[in-house]
Amino acid sequence: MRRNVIGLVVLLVTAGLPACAVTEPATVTILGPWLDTGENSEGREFRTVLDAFTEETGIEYDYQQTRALAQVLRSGMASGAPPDVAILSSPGDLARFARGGGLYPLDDVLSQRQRAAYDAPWLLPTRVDGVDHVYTVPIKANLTSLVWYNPKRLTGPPPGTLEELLAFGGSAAGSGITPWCMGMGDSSISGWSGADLIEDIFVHRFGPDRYRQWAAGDLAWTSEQVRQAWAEWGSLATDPRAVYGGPRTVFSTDFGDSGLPLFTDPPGCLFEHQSSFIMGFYRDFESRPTAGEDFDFFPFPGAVGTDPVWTVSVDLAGMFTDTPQARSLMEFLARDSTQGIWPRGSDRGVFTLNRDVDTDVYQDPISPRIAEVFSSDDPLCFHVVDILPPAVRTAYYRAVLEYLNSPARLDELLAGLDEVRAAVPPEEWLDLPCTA
Amino acid sequence: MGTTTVSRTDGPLRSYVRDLRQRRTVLLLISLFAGLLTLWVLVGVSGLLVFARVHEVSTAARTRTVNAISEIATARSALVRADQAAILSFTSGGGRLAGPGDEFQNQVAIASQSLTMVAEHTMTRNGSSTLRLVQGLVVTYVGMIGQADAHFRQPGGEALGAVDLWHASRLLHGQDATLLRELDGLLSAHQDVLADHLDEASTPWHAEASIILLAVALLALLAFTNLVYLRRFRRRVNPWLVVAAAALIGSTLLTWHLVGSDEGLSTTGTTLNGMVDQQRTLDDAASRVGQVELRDLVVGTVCGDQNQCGATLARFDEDVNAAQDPLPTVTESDVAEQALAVRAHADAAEVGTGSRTWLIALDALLVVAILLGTLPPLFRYRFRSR
Repeated sequence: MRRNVIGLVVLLVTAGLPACAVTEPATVTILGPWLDTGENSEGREFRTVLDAFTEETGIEYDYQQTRALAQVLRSGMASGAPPDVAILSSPGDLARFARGGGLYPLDDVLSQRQRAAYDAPWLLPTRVDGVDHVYTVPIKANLTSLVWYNPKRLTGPPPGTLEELLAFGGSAAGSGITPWCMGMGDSSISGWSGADLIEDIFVHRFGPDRYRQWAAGDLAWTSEQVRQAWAEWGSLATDPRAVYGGPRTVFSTDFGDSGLPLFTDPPGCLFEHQSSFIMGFYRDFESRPTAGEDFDFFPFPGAVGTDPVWTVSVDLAGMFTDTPQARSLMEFLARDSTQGIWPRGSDRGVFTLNRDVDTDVYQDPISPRIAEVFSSDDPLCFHVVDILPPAVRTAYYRAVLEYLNSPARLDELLAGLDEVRAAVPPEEWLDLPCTA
Repeated sequence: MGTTTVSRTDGPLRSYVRDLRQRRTVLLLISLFAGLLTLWVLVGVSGLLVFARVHEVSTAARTRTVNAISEIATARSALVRADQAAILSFTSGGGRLAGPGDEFQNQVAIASQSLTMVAEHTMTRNGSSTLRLVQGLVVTYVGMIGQADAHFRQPGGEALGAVDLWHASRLLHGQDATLLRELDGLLSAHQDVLADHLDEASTPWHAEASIILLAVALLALLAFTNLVYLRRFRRRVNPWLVVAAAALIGSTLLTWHLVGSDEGLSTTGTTLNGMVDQQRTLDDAASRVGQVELRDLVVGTVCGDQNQCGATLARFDEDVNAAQDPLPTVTESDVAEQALAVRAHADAAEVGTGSRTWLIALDALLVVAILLGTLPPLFRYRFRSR
C-alpha cells in the first residue's frame, strides 16, 4: 500500500515537472536603438511588431531602448545579464560576440525557407570553431548612398558624378546658396554621419575592393586613398562657404536637426547626405515636408568611370540568451509576414531585406525607388564603421570631430588612427565583402 | 400489593427519565465543547491569516520597496549633482587642472552605490532590465565626461570639450530614453508597487466584520457555557472559562492591532512620496543652475555669436530660457528630516514575528483553558452518572 502511495506521488511530481517548465515567466527582453518618443516614432512603430509577437505567442516583451546601444549591451554582458535579443547595426560587433560565445547561432531557429528569403550577408554567416553558422535576422535596412534635396530649390539636374558633386558649390548651378547641411551630433556616438560621408566618397572613388581592404584593416589610414577621401570630405565640411553654419555648427548640430535649413525660406542649404531613415526625421519637422514634393533624393554619384555601388546599414537582431522565448521571437522576426508589418505601417523610410515581401508595402512615392536598390544586383557594402573593431570605430568618430575642430591636424589624426589600428589584434578584424 | 406494583413500575421510568436527562446534559456539554473548539479554530486561523498577510506585505514594503524608492531618489539626485559639479568645474576654468572635480567623483560613487542597492531591492516586473540599462548609461555618461575632460586639457580643444560636456549632460537630462527619464520611470514603477502594497495591507470591511463576529460568537459561547455549568452543577464561576475569555479578548485585540497596522505603512508611503517630491524640487533647482552655465559655455566657445549656432543648440538655448526659475521652498535639511521621518514611520509600521508568537501563545492558552474548563466537569459528570 505504502509503495503504491509513493508511486502515485512520484507519478504526480514527474507529471507536474513539464507543466512547471511550461508555466515559467514568459517574457523576452529586447535591447534596441529605436526610441519610443510618442505616436509614429520609430520605437512606437517597432512595438507594433513586438505586439504582434505577443498576440500570437502570449509571450510578453520588455523593450529597452537607448542610443548608447553598444555601451549598454557590453555593460549587460559584462555583468552576466545580457538582454535576450539585441538589435545592432554593427555586423562587426555581432560577429565578435559570436566568436566570443556571447551570441547564439540561429541554425535550428530559422527554417531553410526563411533563410532563402534573405541574401546571405544579412544573416551574418560566420565560421566558429570550424563550423558555419548564421547569427542574425535583419530587421530594418537603411540605404546610405543618398543625397537629399528639396526639389523646389534645386531646379537644375543633380550632379551626375562625384567630381560635379564636390565642385557644386563653386558651379553656376550651386552659386548663391551654401550647398551642404551637416550635423554630427548623436550622444555618445557623435561623428558617425561624417564617417558615413567619408566612406561614400571613398567607395565611389576607389571601388568596393579597396573599400573592403580598408574595413578589414589592410589599408592604412595614412594611405593616399583614405587621406584623399578625408580631404575631399574636409573640403565640404570645414569650409564655411560649403557647409551651413561652418564646421563648429556641424559638430554641435544633431544629425536629426541638420536637414532643417533644406526647408526654410530662404533655404539654408541644398543637399544633405544621409541614410534613408532620415525621411522620418524630415516628416517630424514643424513644416511637415512631404516626400516627393518637399524632399527627394538622388543616388550618391560615383567618380567618372566607376560602377554603381551602395553603402548600407542594417539593424540586425541577434540572440544573446538561448531561451524558448528568445528563439520564438527570432523565428517570428524572420517571417515574411512579420517583415512586412513595419514598412506597411510606417512612413518613416523603413525597409526590409526580405525578398518575399511585396514592394506594395511602401506607401510614398520615394520608398519604392529605394527598395529597388535593395533588390538590385548592384554591390551593397556595410559601412566601414559597422565592421571596424570598437576601439578603431570610437577613434574614427573622435577623429571626425577633431578634424572639424582643427582641419590642419588631418595627418596627425590619420597617423593616430593607424596607431590604434596597429594595436588591435588580428583576430579582431573582419573581412566582410560587399554583396554581388 | 397495588402500591408495590406501582413502585416497581415507577423505578424503571424514573431511571429512564434520569438517563434521558443525563444523556441530554452530556449531549449539551459535548455540543458546547465542540462549538467552542470550532470557533477557536476559526478565530485562531483568521488571526494567523491576518498576521501572515500583514507581515508579508509590511516586510516587503518596508525592507524592499521603501528602500528601493529611497535609493532611486538618491541615485537620481547624485547624478544631477554630479552633472552640475562637472559643469561648474569646467566653466570655472578649474577643469583644466582638476577635470570634472572631486564632487563629481563623489556623486557618481553615491549614484553607483545607490543603484547597486536598488538592484537588491527592486520588485517591479522590468526593474532588473531597466536597472541594467541605467547602469550602462551611467558608464557611458562618465565616459563622455572623461572625453570632455580630455578635450578641455588639450590646447584649442575647448569647443569640442564643451560639446562633449553638453552631449553628456543631454544624456542625463534629455527628453527621450535618457538617464533621468529611465530613473523616473523606475521610481514611478516602484511607487506603484508601494501603492499596491498599501492596498494589500488594508483589510476589507467584510474581513474585519468576520473577525469581530467570530470573537463575539466565541465570547458569547464561553459565557453561555459558563452559565450552563453554573445551573447544571450549581458551581461557582468556571475559572478556566474566564481565563479562556481573557485569552480570547487578548487575541482579538492583537489581531485588531494587526488589522490597523496598514495605517503605519500608509503614513510611511505618504512621507516617502513627500520626500521624493522635495528631493525633486532640489534636483530641478540644481539642474537649472547647471544648464544655464552649460548653455553659456557652449554658446560662448562653439558659436561665438549665438546667431551662428545650429538648430540643436538654438533649441537648447530656447529650452533653457523657457525653463522657469526654480524657487525651491525646501532645503537640504528638510529632505534629511523627511528621510529620518520615513525611517521612523517604517520602523513603527514593522509587524514583527513577536506578534505571531503572542498570537499563537494566546490561542494556545485559549484552547487549553477551554479544554480544562469543559472536559474535567464533563468526565466527572459522565462517571458519576454511571
